[in-house]
Amino acid sequence: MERNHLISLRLGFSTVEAENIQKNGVSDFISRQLEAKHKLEVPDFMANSPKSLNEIQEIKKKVRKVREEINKINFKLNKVGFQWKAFLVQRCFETENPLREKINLFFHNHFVVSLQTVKVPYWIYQHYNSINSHSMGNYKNLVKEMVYSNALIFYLNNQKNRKGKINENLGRELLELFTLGEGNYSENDIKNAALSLAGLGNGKDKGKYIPKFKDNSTKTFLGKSGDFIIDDVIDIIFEQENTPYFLAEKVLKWFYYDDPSDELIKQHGDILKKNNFELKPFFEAVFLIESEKNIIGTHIKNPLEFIIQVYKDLNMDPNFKFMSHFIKNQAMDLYDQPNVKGWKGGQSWLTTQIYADRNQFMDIIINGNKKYEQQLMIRLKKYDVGTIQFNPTLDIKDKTDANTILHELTERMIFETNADMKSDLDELLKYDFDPSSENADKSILKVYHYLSKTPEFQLI
Amino acid sequence: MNRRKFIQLTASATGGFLVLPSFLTAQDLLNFESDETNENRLVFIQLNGGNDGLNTFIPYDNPLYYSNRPRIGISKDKIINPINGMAFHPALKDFGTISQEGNLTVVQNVGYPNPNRSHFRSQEIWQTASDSKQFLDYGWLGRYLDIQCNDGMLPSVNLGSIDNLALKASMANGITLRDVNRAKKNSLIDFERKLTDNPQLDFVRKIQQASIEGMNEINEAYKNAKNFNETYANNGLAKNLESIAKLIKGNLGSKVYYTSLGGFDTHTNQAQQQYKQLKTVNDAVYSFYSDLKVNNILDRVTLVIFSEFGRRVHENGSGTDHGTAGPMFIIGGKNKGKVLGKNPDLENLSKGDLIYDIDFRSVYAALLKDKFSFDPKRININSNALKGIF
Repeated sequence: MERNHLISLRLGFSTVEAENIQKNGVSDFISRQLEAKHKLEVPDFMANSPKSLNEIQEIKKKVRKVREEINKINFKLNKVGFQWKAFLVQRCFETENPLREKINLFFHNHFVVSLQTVKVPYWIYQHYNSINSHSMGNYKNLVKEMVYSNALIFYLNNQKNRKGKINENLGRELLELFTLGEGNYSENDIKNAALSLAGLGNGKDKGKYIPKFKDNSTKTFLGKSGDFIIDDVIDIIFEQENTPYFLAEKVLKWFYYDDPSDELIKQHGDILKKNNFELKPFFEAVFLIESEKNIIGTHIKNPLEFIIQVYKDLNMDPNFKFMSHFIKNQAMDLYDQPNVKGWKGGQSWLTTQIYADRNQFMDIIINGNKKYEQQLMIRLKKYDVGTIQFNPTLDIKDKTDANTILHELTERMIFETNADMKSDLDELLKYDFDPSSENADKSILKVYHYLSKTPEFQLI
Repeated sequence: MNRRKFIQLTASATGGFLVLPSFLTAQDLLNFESDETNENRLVFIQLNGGNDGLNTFIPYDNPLYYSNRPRIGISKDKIINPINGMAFHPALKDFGTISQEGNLTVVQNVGYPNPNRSHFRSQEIWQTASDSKQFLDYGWLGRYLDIQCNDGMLPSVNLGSIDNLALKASMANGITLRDVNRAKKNSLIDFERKLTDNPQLDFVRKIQQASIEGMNEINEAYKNAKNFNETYANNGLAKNLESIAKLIKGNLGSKVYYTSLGGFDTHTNQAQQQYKQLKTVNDAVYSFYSDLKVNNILDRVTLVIFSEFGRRVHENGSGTDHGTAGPMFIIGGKNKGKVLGKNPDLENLSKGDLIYDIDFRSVYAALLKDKFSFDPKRININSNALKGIF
């Protein structure tokens, strides 16, 4: 695979940035992406949806427990959730800063909250908005921001964490999953973190301490004592040895390797530490250093990377609701991870069923199946999915002959070739193939079809 | 459990209705017809590159043959099994044996009107049974299987690494396997096995093998066939035919099997190159033939060998250029063991090429009609079935 295409796929969702990377260089690409003002405006369907649990309860009260009416309200909320998922796919698809969306998705899988549990779609939007506005700032601020997120507070039941009735859920995950990692704290530290969180419940735009539920005793956390609130606890967390390495490892796993070496984690963690947890220089260093390496085929494409690449390669009109549904079936349900740990990633992205589905999807796109398109539209009609159509076309820069076409496609699509594959490709597009003949485009699509089903296409 | 039900189940288990298309067409499935009592099996060997027919089944009695081919013509003292002015290439000595045993039909001068000399296009034409200027999306065997394939069975098996257009169906898509043994070895059971230096690639390859639909049926048939032990020649084509024979002996329900061999595009150095390829074909086919015979299934297995075109009558240096018509070979399946059609007419040529005599679609029609009792017109093969094969 041509290097710029690889970088474009790893730092985005398709190969469309390859040309830009080639023209201006990797470091220019990375720094432009990281510097960009990556805006997020509240989409209409979200702006018009209830802003809090209270508001939803008020609406439900008005219909006086009429089951049907309640169902309608729930369905409407569900639909907003569905639209939100499609909206995120759309952002990833249309953005000029795919790297920023990829970082956002990383954090959304780090500070997990789910639509199913949280029930207020608007809170989910705010959660993403916080990530988007802080992902280039300081990691410590991002963690503080997250702990005050209504969605996260509700997802981890902190609204029930009250003085005298401590709920440890958020406190535990803050240490175990968000910052330190297991083995770097004691059960007692969890208890004291939870005490510091007591009374932090849902507020208007973000969480707030409710004085009567707050615990004002002296807490002892990782060797320090005081009447801490959670901000103090987070300050202490960021003095701990493992904090930078914990994040570095997860970032390396999201972007590059299932099992990064200790040296590599140390190298990048050190950079984060040296920069006082400023995320921008840290990310910049990770991407620059890893882009220089000659390592390839280490990372299984996640469903979003898979489908956006295919859509863009084949110039298909995107239907974001369908796409978000597709990735849901591929076990990547945006803002609805199966549990607080988030998607495991790596090899868990592929099972026999998921792989068979990916291949079958390619069959349907390339061979055409009108019935399937119609069936999908009927099935997703209640979510106003609109038209689902797959009309693949493929742009080839150099259509001189079979060789140039095969070369271009393999360089764009797969990380390595082998002798068997080469002979298959020569069979598929024989040397006397005439690119100007009537059926030529279909034949070139067959090459795409073949390559897209190879194991090599699953890896970047 | 029947196959489509199984697919439904796995689909609902994952909530993945991407597997739906197979049963979306449930309406069509209700109408399917199948003849399970028909135990006939068709096996195809496609010779890729355009096998030179004139040097395969040789008009040794025609002086024009030698005058057109002073360099690559095959001398009379080397030919095998002369019949009525025609004889086999020296590499095909076992074809002579099969012919003498009455189990080989040769159909001469097979082609189609307005021949296309592009490998690519001509293969498409043969695979879809289209007219020269017609483009069809599905293969001729695929179209047949769409109509007449039992819900519970794997429609077809293609031994090779790329899908074959001839088998492409709208519903009844079969399985393409590079190597049955390898597929078994790479299965999930053997997850520790190292295939490449890249553990991620290894992982995906294993998942790939396991995700191939139809692998269960294949494994089952392989198990059933364990007691039959035949020795095959040592070449790739022979391995593929051995796998096909095993699947048939193991009672796999699939009616159609396909494999191919490349290397017939002999623009230069034809003498050595074609000898080598035909020797491979000879050895592989004879192993297959002997296996079927010993196991008493030759009568229900029909092997068909063809190429997308023959080659120019006049040699060009040490080789030949793309041409048109050529012979087809049919082995087993109770064929009558004759040579059908006229010997090649080397006098009346079109642009230096043979003018076809028998349309390949009339051979296809005969296969469908005589072996599967199926009316070929239903899949738009309108040629009359060629008489005299079976």
